[in-house]
Amino acid sequence: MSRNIKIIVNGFDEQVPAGSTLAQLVELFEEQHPELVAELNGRFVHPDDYAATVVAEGARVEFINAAFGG
Amino acid sequence: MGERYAVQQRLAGWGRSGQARLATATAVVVGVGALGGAAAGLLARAGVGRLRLVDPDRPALDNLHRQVLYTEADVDAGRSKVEAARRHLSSVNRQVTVEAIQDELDQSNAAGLLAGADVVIDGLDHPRPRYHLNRACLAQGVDWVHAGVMGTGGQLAVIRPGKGPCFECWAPPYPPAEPKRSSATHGIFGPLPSCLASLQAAEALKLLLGADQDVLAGMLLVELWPLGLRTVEIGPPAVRRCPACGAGGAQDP
Repeated sequence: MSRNIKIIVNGFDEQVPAGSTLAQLVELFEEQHPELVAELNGRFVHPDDYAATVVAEGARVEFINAAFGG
Repeated sequence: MGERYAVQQRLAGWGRSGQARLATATAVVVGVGALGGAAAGLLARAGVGRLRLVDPDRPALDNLHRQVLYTEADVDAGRSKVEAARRHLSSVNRQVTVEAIQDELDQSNAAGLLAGADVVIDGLDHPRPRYHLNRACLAQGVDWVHAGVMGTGGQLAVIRPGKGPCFECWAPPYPPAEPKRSSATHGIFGPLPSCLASLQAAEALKLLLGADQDVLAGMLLVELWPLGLRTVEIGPPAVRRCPACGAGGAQDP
């Protein structure tokens, strides 16, 4: 039986299944934007690394839409 | 140099030698819209000796709320942005040589457009050419100052080939999908690009003056409404190697 962990997503307290990867959180929080860059505990995670990055209890995740206008 | 630069020369570490260094420097501004135009204006005022401006477009009336280099007369005359910019910048500082190149940077011409550059300002308005700019700067070992804006926020990063993460160490994989947000769908707050452009000019001047240790590390995220600034660390990819600079790849997937 899976248990939940507490993390912070975009500044809000959330409960997600223990062992969740960043890739799963992108889907769970519907953040699949072409401009998405994800930040975990103050550091960007490369998109190729989302699936291998497991998020721990207490983690702070920010989904940022990079701006590409000029 | 006369009194023109007297006030900035009083800054610590600037002086006559710093000013002379700027006079022999070349900055390439790729995209001369709201970001590039404002940054080019500050670099011309600071006395950067040669500015190469690259942009395919003409100023339009709906550019004027944020593109501070252009006037209604430029729109009416149908001048290219680079030619209008060249005129304005030459009237700001006649000691600066301004090259106006009406073209769009892509894979085939990037190397030539950047030839001789000491620093590059990213004033582009789409993700795709930024990947080509990144690859060309990596190949030539030229530092570039990235910024992007949309809505009321944006980001700034200084990319230094061989000295830290590159654009593709954090950007969405190439080729990028068409952005969901554009100036047509989400608008751009007028003061935003000038704010980021000032920061770009500041980082570029520090690079040209050799103040490497004081250049931004990581990425600065800027939100103007409500106002908030914060810095995020950028690392190389942890799992796969960066396709552009080869950094990272601590373990295989």
